[in-house]
Amino acid sequence: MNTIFLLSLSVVLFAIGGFGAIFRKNFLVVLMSLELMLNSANLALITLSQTFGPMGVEGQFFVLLVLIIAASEVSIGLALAVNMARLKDKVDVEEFSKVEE
Amino acid sequence: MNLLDILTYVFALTAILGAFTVVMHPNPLYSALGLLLNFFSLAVLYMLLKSPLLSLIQIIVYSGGIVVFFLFVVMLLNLRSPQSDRDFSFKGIFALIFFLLLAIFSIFGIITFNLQPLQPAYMSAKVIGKYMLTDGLFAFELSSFVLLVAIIAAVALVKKEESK
Repeated sequence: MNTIFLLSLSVVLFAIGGFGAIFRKNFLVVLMSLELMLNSANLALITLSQTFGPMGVEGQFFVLLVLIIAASEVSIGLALAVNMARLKDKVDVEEFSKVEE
Repeated sequence: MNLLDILTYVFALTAILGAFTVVMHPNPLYSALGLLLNFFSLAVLYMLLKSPLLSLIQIIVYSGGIVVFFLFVVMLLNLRSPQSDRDFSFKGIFALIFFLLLAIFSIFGIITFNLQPLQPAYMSAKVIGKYMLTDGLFAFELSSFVLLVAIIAAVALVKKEESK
């Protein structure tokens, strides 16, 4: 339970999420990997806010803001996924590399 | 090594396990369940860091809202699983090397940086709420606007065009 361990865990989760966002082609899994990256940022924010003792309220507040951004991002992303499935019956990001589709 | 340390290491391990399940499992349904495992482990870590409000919000919003949302969409679309969902081309290898190097160098940076030790203070809902409605008021109001835009965008995107 020390700062170095928790921050390293956050870095490892961020790297796994970023790798998954590029490695996978399924749009739903790409969105899940983005969620992983946002969550690792939350862990780093809470850890660093708790190194300040009672002064670290700002970090906790920023975690709430990140949560709101993540929720809106997921709702828009899943709406896009539903549209993709209507157009081509699959949610492969390689199929939708052009904007005009 | 006391009980709290053991709990921290166990739930850190399950968090990494859940993240690997998300990235590596070919079926998106199991990826969503791995995401659930990851969120739940992180909620336990927040609770160990004396932040009970954020831990409960993590369980309610992420595990109860977002993961269920993903599961609904995966089951609603009911897509046949493609032959190779994973990208083993140059792009995938490059991403693996890049993020591996990023993790290694960041951990070296964290070790060499002179960090303060943890001194967890109990963050109650009262303290966070007081900050939210005084100093963080502008960001709080702005986030409500972001949520409104997200709702309108989601409805506008999935609406079927009637006159066509």
